[in-house]
Amino acid sequence: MTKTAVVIGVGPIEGLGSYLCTQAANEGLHVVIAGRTLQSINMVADAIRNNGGEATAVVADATDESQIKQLVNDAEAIGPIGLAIYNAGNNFPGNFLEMQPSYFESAWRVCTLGGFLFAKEVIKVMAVRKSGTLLFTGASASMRGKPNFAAFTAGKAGLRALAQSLAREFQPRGIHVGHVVIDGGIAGEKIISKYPEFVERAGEDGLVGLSGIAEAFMYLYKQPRNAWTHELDLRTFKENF
Amino acid sequence: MKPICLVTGVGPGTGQAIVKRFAADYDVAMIARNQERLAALQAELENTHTFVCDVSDSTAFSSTINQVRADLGDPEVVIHNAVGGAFGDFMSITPKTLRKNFEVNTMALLQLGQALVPAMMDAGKGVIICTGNTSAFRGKANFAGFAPTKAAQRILAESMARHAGPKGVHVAYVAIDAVISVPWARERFKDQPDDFFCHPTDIADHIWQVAHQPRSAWTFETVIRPFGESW
Repeated sequence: MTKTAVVIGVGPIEGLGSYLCTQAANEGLHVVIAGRTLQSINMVADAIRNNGGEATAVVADATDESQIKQLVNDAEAIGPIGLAIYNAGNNFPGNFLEMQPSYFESAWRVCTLGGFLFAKEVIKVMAVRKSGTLLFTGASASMRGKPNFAAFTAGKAGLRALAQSLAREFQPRGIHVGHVVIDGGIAGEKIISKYPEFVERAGEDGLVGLSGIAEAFMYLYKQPRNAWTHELDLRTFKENF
Repeated sequence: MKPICLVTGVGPGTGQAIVKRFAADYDVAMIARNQERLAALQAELENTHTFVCDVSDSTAFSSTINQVRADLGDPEVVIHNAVGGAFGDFMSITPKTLRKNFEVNTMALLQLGQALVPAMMDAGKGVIICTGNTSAFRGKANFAGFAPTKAAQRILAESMARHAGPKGVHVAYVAIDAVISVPWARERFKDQPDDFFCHPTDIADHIWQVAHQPRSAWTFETVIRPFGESW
């Protein structure tokens, strides 16, 4: 039976979620593509199928426990989950003094709580088989706080701490847990369309490349278990870090 | 013509595995003190070249680096795997021990960088990878003569990465959090299963991957460890 890859947090074709799905399909995995917008994830699934790969689109909200349970069940029904990627989480910039508690909480829900819900369901099935790879998308905000990023940083740092705890608990039980720190803006549709000034300031080669990021995720997936990496930092060569 | 890869610290474990991994696609300059070992490797592997040198002797190291450039050309990939180590708490080590390890681990990296990065910058591409271990991150009681030099080495690599990155040169630090499977370690930990060890071939594969990342997504620091390792 073909193994599956579950990727949650998939949006436009020119986005990281989509590239993760495409490269997972290239590894021979049946990709279960999860996101909130059916039209977007259907486009990613169609692109993979047109390329000869296997894919199923499932609408799911990363912060909804019952939907995550259903997603993991659906994936397991197709094939054992070999790779699971938590890629949900938007940036949540905002002035701290004007920030509503509900805004802070919504950042935490998608950046941290969703990672917990997803990891729990995925690890349950992987632990039985004593194998599988669970990867999380991190950001520079996972590592340090900056003005106007209190909500996002708290959420991403929480996700990183979760990932590290899970790695220490479950790697000895055969599950590879990885956290990929993307240090910089990603060269995807979201940033390019929403923040043109940022893209212009970054200049040529100023954003982290989608293919390179997805390659790094697949590299972690393929590492032999006697040489696992838990955390990987990625940045474009031009990044001033 | 193949690109050039320079490897320091070609011992029977990681260094040799790195040489083997790169020799298929690179002309590899092997630097170590042990002439016999290098000669044997050179006889076994095509595209490998022997340069006997103690990297803690900066004068000798300088002329060796020049010799590599004269014989083979400017290296595109440099892997600093030479390591000076010692056990002992801070009361029992001699200042000489710490100084010697600093020469091998940190000063030799500086020397490699100063000698070889300018040509890489001119070419707009190049890779410097330094191998390390958990001593780069923490000082345990019995590593007083070693950990400070690995921590300094890691920070030097980070400074180099930040300076050279925008000019197309990828500097990376690869730390191995494990007992590496080499004959003496297998003997010392002979009750441990195979899964306890990190294998030199896996380490070499990892270094290869880091050395060939696309420049839109470079990694500076990675740790590799066996799945069962407590950390």
